[in-house]
Amino acid sequence: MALLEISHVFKTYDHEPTIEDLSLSVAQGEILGVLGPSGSGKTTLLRIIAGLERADAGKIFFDGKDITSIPSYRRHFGMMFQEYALFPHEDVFENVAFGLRMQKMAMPQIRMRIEEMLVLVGLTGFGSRNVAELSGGERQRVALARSLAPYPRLLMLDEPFGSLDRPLREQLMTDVRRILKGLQITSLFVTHDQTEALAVADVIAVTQKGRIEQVDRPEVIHRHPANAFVASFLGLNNLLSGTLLPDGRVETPIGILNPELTDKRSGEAVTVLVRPEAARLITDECEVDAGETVLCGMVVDRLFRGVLYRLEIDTRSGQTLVFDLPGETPPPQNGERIRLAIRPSAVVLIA
Amino acid sequence: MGYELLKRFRVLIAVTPLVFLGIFYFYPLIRIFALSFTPEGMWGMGEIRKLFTTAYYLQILWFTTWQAAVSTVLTIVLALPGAYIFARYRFPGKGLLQSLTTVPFVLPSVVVAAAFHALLGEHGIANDWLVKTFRLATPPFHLEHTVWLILIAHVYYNYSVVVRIVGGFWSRLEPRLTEAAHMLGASTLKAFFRITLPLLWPSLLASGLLVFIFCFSSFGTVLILGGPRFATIEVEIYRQAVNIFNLPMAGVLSLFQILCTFAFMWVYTWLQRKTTVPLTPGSRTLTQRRVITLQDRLFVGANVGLILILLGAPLFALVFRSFSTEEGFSFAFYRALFENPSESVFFVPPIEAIFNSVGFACATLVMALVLGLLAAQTLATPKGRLTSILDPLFMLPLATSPVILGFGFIIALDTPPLNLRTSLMLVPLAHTLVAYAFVLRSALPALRSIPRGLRDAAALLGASPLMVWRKVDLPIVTRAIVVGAVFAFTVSLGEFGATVFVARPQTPTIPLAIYRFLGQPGAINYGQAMAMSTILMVVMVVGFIFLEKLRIGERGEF
Repeated sequence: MALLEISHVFKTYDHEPTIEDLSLSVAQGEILGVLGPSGSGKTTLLRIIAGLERADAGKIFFDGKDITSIPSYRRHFGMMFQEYALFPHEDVFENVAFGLRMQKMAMPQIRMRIEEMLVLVGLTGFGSRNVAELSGGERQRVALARSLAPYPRLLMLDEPFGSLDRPLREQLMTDVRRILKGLQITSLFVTHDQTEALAVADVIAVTQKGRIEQVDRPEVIHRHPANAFVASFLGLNNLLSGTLLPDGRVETPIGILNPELTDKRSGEAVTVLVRPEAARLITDECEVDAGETVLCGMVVDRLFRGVLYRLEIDTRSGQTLVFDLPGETPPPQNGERIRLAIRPSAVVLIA
Repeated sequence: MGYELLKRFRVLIAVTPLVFLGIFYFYPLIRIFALSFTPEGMWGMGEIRKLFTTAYYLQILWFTTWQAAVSTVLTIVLALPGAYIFARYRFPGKGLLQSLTTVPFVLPSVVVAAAFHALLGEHGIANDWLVKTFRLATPPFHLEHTVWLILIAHVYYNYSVVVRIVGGFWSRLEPRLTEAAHMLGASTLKAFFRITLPLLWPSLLASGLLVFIFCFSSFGTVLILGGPRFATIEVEIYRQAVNIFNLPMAGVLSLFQILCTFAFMWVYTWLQRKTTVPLTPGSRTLTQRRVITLQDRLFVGANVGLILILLGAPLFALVFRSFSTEEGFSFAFYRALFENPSESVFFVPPIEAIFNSVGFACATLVMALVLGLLAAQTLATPKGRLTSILDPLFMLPLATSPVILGFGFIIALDTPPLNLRTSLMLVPLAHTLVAYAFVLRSALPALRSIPRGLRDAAALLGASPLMVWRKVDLPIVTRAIVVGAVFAFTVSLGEFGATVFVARPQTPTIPLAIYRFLGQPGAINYGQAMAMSTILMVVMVVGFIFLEKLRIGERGEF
């Protein structure tokens, strides 16, 4: 039984549908990452769950109860806002204490809880600091402590790493996941950055234009994107249209490919994703194993990235594909011909 | 030689406004001070002691303070919802409504007083309407000559001050802060008191203090609406000087008033520096939303309605009353302005007052433009420390109550070589003192925006300093000059506090005529007051619309 259940939610802004018939569920203790481009309605979804916004239609259930019409301040959910929304007129202690004061907790308990929270987020001794003096990373930690302090039943994070620079962002991604898993708190976070979603979430929901495109574990999403949108949003752009043959292989403009597995019926028009990391440079036909497809083309762009070369290849059919080849063997130069063997594991059938 | 000439020229530019201030501002002030310390021609603290020991005067000090405090609190409470809708919502007609809220602030106090007479007076339209509708035997409102009418008029005046300052501040507050409080379990009310109110505090203090200063120095409103029972310090200065002719006491009261005003202003600037809370400003699209839900519609609708009623009703009543005669709607009161019947309070047809006012305003306009531009030119040349002293010095007359300026004029400028008592120039001189600061403030940003290189280039090409000013500065500041001119003209037309001291009985201005009409019994006097107030109001509103139009795309220092 899911802890949070979103059922057929609709929301329209200025006659533009922001969320359309969206259903989603989150299990107890799970971290759900809502991943989508900006304007895909993910922040609106978060605000509807938080009770800061009302859906035009649809219901929200929490722990089996319908909470659709309960105001935000009675839901006992935590929310970490984009840019954190720390109270500028209060110090770190008072910011973190706010939720506890609202619960009318006694002062000694408040002190203990805040001490505990500041230790948890690594800000021991920061209680009397002014919010304005804090660095970006420290603000993020205070915001996390503030939303966690009143024992929320659900924690929501809106672009929690959005405004931080890269090294700090990676450190905090690890920390946030460790803290959330350590507390066993059910969480929901929104991001447009696939790295964040893949690193922090247990389950990812990819959204586009107010609809959910795919919900699954990060590994599955990355290996088997459900459709062309999910694939290209994850940066996988080698998409080919083809026809499924009776033997389970797919005929495409670049040749016949062997997808890993399929549940589609023969004759159907399908889209095939060729994973960029699963191609091998070959010099003669003997090296080709059974099931592999040979691809001939011309290098149009070659980028050395240290561990690998990223090659852009013009195929004979006129389509451009991108491949990552190991860095040890230098591949042909720009304008030279190239031959690649594509492994069956590199070919994924999507819708 | 050319350089020497330029230097002399600059000195002349700076000296002229300073000499004017010296003669028409500082000298009268010194005379007021001297008068209060030398009541019987020699040193003595008698009058000052009297101010703080006589129950009568203490009563005035107390009334001045508490009515200002109550007016301030009422204004803030009533204006907060208005500030909120301007800060948080986008709706059609918002810009227009925002401009409308400023209209009362530019209206002369006599017009506002006349308007409230017309609305809430004993025979005001509110009473008339209620008597007719509910067939009452007597009018239900008895607000005339009560403190209530004074308080309501003060709220009316200052509503826009609070809406503008607090609303502007509020629109920069992130709504997420309130939402964060909601998520942490704070109800709407708790979030307001714990988060919004503390964050708005600096703007509430600033606008509150401004409103307090305005109400503390309220003159025309209290004089006309309060009747003989109520007096603020300024009203008492007038009564002591004009009715009782106790000049030393008027001097002491003026001294006290000046000290209070400057003390409040000092606190105001100090607070402004002290209470800035670092805020991360949110973008407009984030902080302002459209009116969509029913709740939004009701809330915004109710507020817009309240604003329109609060601000529109008195003006409507004024216009309505100016046309409603015993024989129904007619121009009778307007026609009467051209006549001079024997029972009239004037020796001349009231229309003369309009000619007088326009004449005075034209003279003021010319003098204020010359002085204002010279002062602006002085401040525009980067001189560092001198500018930082001169700038507030030039603004002093605006910060001093017109009543005190007027009082200073009559006690200082009545002996040779400065015997201007019978001079027609006394009124425009007093008005210039108030109005030139507006010219200065409009022209200075424009002058400062001129790149230095432009002037140097013109000078190198052989232009004399005067030529440089004509060819470079003047075209750029023309717009600012027009703004300043309109300000000077309208300020002069509506000026009451100083005029009531310095104008001669046979050459009254429009506000003076309205004041005298309101003080006389009879429907015809009352109607003429309404008609004249309506005319003055229309002129003011037209001037204001003109300024608002000019202001688009350009930001002055207001």
